[in-house]
Amino acid sequence: MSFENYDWSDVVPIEQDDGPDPLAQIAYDPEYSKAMGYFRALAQKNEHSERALTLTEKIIEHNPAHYTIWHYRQQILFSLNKDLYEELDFIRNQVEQNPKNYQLWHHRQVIVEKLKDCSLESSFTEEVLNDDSKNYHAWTYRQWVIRTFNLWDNELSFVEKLLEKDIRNNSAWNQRYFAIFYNPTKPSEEFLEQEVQYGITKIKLAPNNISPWNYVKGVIAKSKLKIDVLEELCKTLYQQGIISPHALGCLVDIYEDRAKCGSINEKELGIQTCILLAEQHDTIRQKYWNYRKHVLTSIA
Amino acid sequence: MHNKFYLMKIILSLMKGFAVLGVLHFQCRASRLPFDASNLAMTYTALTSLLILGDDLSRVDKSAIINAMKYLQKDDGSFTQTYQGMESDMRFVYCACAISYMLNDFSGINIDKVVQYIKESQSYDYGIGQGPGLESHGGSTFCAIASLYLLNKLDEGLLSKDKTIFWLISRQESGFQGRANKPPDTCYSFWIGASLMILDSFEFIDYDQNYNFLMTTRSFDVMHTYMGVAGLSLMEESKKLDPALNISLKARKNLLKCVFKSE
Repeated sequence: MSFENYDWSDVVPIEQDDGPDPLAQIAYDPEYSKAMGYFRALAQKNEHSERALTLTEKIIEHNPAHYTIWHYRQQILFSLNKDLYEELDFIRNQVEQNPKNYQLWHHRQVIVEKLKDCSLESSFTEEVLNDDSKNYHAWTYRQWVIRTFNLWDNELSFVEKLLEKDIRNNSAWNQRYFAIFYNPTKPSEEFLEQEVQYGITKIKLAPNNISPWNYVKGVIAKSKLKIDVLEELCKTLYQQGIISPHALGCLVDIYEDRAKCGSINEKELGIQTCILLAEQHDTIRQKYWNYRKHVLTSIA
Repeated sequence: MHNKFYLMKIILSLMKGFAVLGVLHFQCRASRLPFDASNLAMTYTALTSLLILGDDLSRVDKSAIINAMKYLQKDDGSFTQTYQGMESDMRFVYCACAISYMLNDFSGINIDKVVQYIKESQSYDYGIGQGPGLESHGGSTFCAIASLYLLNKLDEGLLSKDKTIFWLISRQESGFQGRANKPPDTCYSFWIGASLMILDSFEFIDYDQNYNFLMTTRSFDVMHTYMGVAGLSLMEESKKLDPALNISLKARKNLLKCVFKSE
């Protein structure tokens, strides 16, 4: 039943109180104002009813970001003991038009928390990510589901699927890191070394793709390895004529570390690499690479 | 347990050619309308608006705002927007820190927990996400860096200032992107630019490319238009924008003079 078909004769709508001299009043849709008038009246007497539920749907239609209405809707759903699986369907229908609506995602979380059933959530987030593989809300929600319900096991293969589609998907790379390092089961050193090799393989597919570079450095930092393990890769790429500012930048880091330990040769190499980056291969960051050159030069 | 929240409303009325600012306080409507609670983001916006308009905040019920804020901080250190239970993330951490700074009263937040939350939200690439485990993002990175700055905890809160600066600098490809491998957007000229400015590293950016991007890109809405203007403003030789509070230096001067009672 739509909200107009209910009997509202007992309800005295409460108008919005904008004060005596409102500035820049919003020109609300009359249907929205009417619905909000009824809402204020119902909320005042804490009514949880079918008509109240339908009313929230009408208001959400006009203003999907109205967090108060979503909260009221939750209260009604729970009071009336409504079928929460139907609500999950309702949310799924809404998410197509509003995939980046904070309130919608939070609402789903509240419903799933109440249900204590996460069985639909993996496919739900997968569906949203199929439309937009970098939807921050979807990833945030997916991480919440995984942490709350301990669904770690299949996440790496899910990430793999996304990386096959787009090796440059930084969100997927981040999720890979999450799946390994936020997992209550800590990864072995052997596993981490495999991950570094995995990252290097992906770097070679697209050496200008910053995501696996950051990922590999992140894994190295958590392992017993040092960043030096990337030296060969960086030099090989350069020798093959494949110019990647990420490879050159990595070399600057390696050379700087060694320069600080006293290597004059590497100090010079570092300076030369900074010049390459500043003047040829990463000129948008020229001032930054000149600064790094200065830092290297200043090493005693 | 009854919690009192105060709703602030800004009213501008033009009288005889002069702009006069009035502030109305409304007691919590728990007695009238149950859901009418205050909102942290609106409070931040209201306070900055008042400062921009030259108000001295003397009519603001500061203790009520600070006390209300305590109820919005979660165990992990993050903040929600309102008491009614919503998502919590770095955006509202920033609002809480900015409000506390403007009211010169940090008793409404557990600073150690905020710093801890920010530390835990740093990604393996040294950018900062909305929360622990989440992808590093220009918006949340700004919120975190500005928060740490306002709390005077920059050194404590950043795992590696140098690497975070590099993450920020790496976001420029003409204009600035919010995340690696995403297209640039007007607003990140502010979020990333302001972060760099707070870290004394704004001069590393390529001014020309940023300028050209901002001048040729269409903005979608008022917020993006503002962000574009703010982004341009950061590049001005005579600094006019306070990057941490995202208000003009003129408004900031007003804050120092009237609220902090210093020059």
